[in-house]
Amino acid sequence: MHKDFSAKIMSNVKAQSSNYFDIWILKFGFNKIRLGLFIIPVLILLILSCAKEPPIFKKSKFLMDTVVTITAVGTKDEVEKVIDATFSEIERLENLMSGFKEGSDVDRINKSAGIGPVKVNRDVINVIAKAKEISEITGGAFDITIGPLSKLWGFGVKKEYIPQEDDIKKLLPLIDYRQISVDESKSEVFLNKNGMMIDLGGIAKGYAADRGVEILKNMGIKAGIVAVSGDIRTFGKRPDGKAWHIGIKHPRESEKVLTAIDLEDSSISTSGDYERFFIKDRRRYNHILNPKSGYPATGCQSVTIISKEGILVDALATGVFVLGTEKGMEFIESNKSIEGIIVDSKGEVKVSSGLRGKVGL
Amino acid sequence: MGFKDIIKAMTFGDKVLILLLSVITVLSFYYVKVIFPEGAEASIEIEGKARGSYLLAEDRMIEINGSLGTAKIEIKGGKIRVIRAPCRDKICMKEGWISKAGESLICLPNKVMVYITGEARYDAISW
Repeated sequence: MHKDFSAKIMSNVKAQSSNYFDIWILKFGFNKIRLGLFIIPVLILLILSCAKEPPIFKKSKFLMDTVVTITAVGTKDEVEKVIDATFSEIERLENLMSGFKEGSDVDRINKSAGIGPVKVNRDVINVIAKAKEISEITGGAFDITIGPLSKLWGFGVKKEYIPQEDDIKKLLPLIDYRQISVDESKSEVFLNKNGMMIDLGGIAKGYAADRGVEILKNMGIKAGIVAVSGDIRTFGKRPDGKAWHIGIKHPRESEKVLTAIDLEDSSISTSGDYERFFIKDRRRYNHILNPKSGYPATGCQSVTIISKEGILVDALATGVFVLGTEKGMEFIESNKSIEGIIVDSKGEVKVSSGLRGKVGL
Repeated sequence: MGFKDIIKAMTFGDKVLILLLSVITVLSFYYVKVIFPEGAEASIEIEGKARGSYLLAEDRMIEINGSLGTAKIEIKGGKIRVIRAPCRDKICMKEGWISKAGESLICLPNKVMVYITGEARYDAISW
């Protein structure tokens, strides 16, 4: 067969030897042609695989008492500086909103509780105003005035501590979002009662994700993700034209993902009883406190909320968790712009009507 | 003589051979991914700075100094875990083994992050 092939070409070469290609054949032999025929498809494939869509660059940083991961479409050279600028903005927000940082806006508000109004940064006004709105719509299930109770339980600070019932009851009158006075024109906040404390832990991360996305967009990034721990805001699409593929953590099997969902230009947040908890006398005590009872909310294992804004999904994941499975799902369904997934206390998964068929369960 | 003549000069066997080799070429792209799966390497970062990358195929113990103290990390059978951490909550230890691209072990107090490199199945995880 080989001989035959060579002979046929040879005869052609003899006939048209002026052709440059023929000289090439004479010089390098026939096998090269055959080799060339095999190399061509390989080269095409290589070119196809190299000239693929622009890459994705990802960077993480320890901020806001957690890990912030920013993903941007582009090469490292193109996007790293923008990501670093976004980290700086999130760090600035942390310094304003952390209750643990001496001299932060939140620290000053808390120290002036019952004393007088405090002038604060515009971002802090935005977050507190939004927090009050969300308290209103959730009937107080989400409430940033939870501060004194958070401090008493001391999740993440004290070890496996269950406060005395009397101590909890004494604090309950201080937990009331209606007692926060916000003067938007003067940019001032006042906590009406002595001893009140606000804790922005359930909302500031979502706001940071929103601000992060704003900065990335302003600095020319076309698509990406800002994930402040599990509070995630996405914008644009993946370089391959697909939506961002976001996994939702399984509340009981830490190595597993419960399900995944495709998101474009929207936010997702999950609150779970597995984040910070301890088990004492066969009872699980998690860090999400019910503002009405003063005890950990027990109606769900985890709640995932999906909507446009990061600030909204962050606060609502907590709020719906406190409402519990039934009331929580009712709340989600009554709000057209909100979707959600609730894993109830028995581990059963409930999905809101707008998500059915969009999540693989 | 041109390309057409070469095609003409080829026997049926030659054409089959070319087709076969092309198919093998395409398939090899897939098999390379199977034989060398992505996420076969773990990276360790301390306070955002790279501490090193480690092949998951090689069993070993790694000791690292985070901002709080020394942590011990084990690589065994293609998986990686934290076996000792200086922090109070030991959340990174409770997470257990990780092995898939994109998975991570994070110790907040010690500012240590261990993650599996490669293209992850998920762009982000909500938790």
